[in-house]
Amino acid sequence: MPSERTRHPHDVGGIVFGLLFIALGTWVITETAEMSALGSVFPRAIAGAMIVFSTLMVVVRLIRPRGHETPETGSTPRRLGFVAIVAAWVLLLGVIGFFTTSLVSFLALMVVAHHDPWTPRLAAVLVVAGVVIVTAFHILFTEVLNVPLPTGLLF
Amino acid sequence: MERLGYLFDALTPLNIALAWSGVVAGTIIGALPGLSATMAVAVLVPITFAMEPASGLIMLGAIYTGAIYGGAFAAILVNTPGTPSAIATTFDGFPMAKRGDGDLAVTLATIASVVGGLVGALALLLLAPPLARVALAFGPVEYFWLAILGLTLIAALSEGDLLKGLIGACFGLLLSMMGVAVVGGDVRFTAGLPQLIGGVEVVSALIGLYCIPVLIDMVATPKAHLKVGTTPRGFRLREAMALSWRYKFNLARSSVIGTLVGILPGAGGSIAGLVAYSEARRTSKTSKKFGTGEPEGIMSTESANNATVGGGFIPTLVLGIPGTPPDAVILGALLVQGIRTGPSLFTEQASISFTFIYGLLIATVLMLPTGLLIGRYAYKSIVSLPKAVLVPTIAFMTVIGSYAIQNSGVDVVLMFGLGVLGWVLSRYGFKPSPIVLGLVLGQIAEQGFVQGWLIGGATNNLMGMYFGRPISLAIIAFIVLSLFYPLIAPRLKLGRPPAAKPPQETPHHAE
Repeated sequence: MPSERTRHPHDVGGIVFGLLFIALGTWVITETAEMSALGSVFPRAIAGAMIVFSTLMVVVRLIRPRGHETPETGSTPRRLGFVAIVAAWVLLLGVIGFFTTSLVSFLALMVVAHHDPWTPRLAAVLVVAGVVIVTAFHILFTEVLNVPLPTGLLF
Repeated sequence: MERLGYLFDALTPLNIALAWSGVVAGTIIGALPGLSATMAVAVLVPITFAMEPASGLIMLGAIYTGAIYGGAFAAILVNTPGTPSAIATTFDGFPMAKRGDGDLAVTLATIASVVGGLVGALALLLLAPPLARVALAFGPVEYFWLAILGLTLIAALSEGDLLKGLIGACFGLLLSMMGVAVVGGDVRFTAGLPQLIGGVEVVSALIGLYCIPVLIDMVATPKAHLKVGTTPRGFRLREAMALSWRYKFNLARSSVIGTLVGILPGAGGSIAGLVAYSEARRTSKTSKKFGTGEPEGIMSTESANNATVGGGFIPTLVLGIPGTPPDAVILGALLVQGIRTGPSLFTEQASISFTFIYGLLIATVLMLPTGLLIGRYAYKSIVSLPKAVLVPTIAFMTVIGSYAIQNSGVDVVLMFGLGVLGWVLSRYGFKPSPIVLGLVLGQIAEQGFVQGWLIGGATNNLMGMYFGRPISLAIIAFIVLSLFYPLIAPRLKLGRPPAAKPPQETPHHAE
């Protein structure tokens, strides 16, 4: 039914990813040229299958447009904030130290995840909760499970 | 008799404590809407690496079965399935809670979960060893085809598009090839980065693919103000027992359905719950009452979804092909522990497999008192946990957990990178489960494929090697059937009452 509800009749994202997967499959096949016969037979077979499925998918989507519905709800800045904080966390934990980066990221994620108004009492409770949880898990992994967590520049 | 000895190994105070804490942790995570059983197992799996293999497995099995059961609380009391496997529990659970029978509904769900869990675990105990002997007849090519069957099944059964599922499965298989080749020793697809020579560490990749997308979407929306319809006031155990006895055939049938769906590679609790629900409604004398608070509805779903736990372990332990998505994580954990799944697990390593199976039975029984007490006293505080605590805690567990697997910062970066990629792909219809299964089954599939190719090449009968063996042909027939499933599925449409709400915040279903 052509109406304003079907403004994007094509599953553009699906088609773009289909093309990207075709490109990935092609890259994999070119990479296998320098490999031994044993090491290259399976990647070639799977990359070939991926190219076939992706081509089929793209063709089907072009012939029979069917918009893929991705419910866009919620706050994009918060999503990006989450990704940025955790990205910094995982990249810096070896440099600065596991405990420090974890505590800072933990508190930063609290800010991103909390939608209601802040009160001093709530902030205090959450900070205490954050410190307790991070410390408890840190002790569990380093002392009980014997995992040497990186200390980095600080600790 | 010898096997009974393993029962006593499972009954050590440590193992009972682990089983109990696993059930508690699983139930709490499962009861939180948006967090699935797969996630529960994924975030907690690194804790088990320091344990003895059997003890670690017992804890993982307990977390899994507890999480599947915990989903019922939210389904009954706030009309939101805590895990996707409890979708059908909302149909009759919430109407019961609304009319003031929430406590009875929770107790019924608990009894049904315990019964289903016991049937599944007993099937594992009784069927796995003889099936393991059958599996000895499987050659490398059969393992290759089995892996492909697992992938096509999950592509066909997980929601979304079949072709996108198959593409995701191929992508997962390609991810599994990064690093040193399992046969031949080539270094592949590392883009020259020495950090990638070790390949993608499976468990950290699973943690990323299953947990990070959920977290990204969790922060985006304010906490749904879930209104707890009624707080369970008592247990009404006697009444629930009487109802369970009256509907014993429903319980038995649903448990068997759950076990069988669990055995099917890739399919898990959510499918089992819906199939058992529609079967119960079809055969019930009071089928018109389904959807308005009919105890039979809750009992069918809850027994079936917990039966998938034991059922799913059958292919996981016997063949190394995960029966359900959480089994994929557990299989990854077994690889990290250095346990070889397959027929030898029931002979040479019988102490691990049988101790675990008895442990799973014990954990299932422990669900009865634990679940009743959590439902009565702790549910309200669990469901009111603020996101400002939940999100950073889970994020912290994914980071520390993926680091702890092999003390590697690279694993943490890969975990997060794959998680973000998984979120983007999922928005465009490429769901995480096929990618995960491809990654988990990659090595088995490649070994089988390459060995078959070698033998076929040496005997000048390549086609016969892949397509000429009877067991292979049977598996191929199932693969073809699974590929046509999306065409058949609309004819077998699973009826659901209009009152049902879709699960909140779980766009990344995985049981």
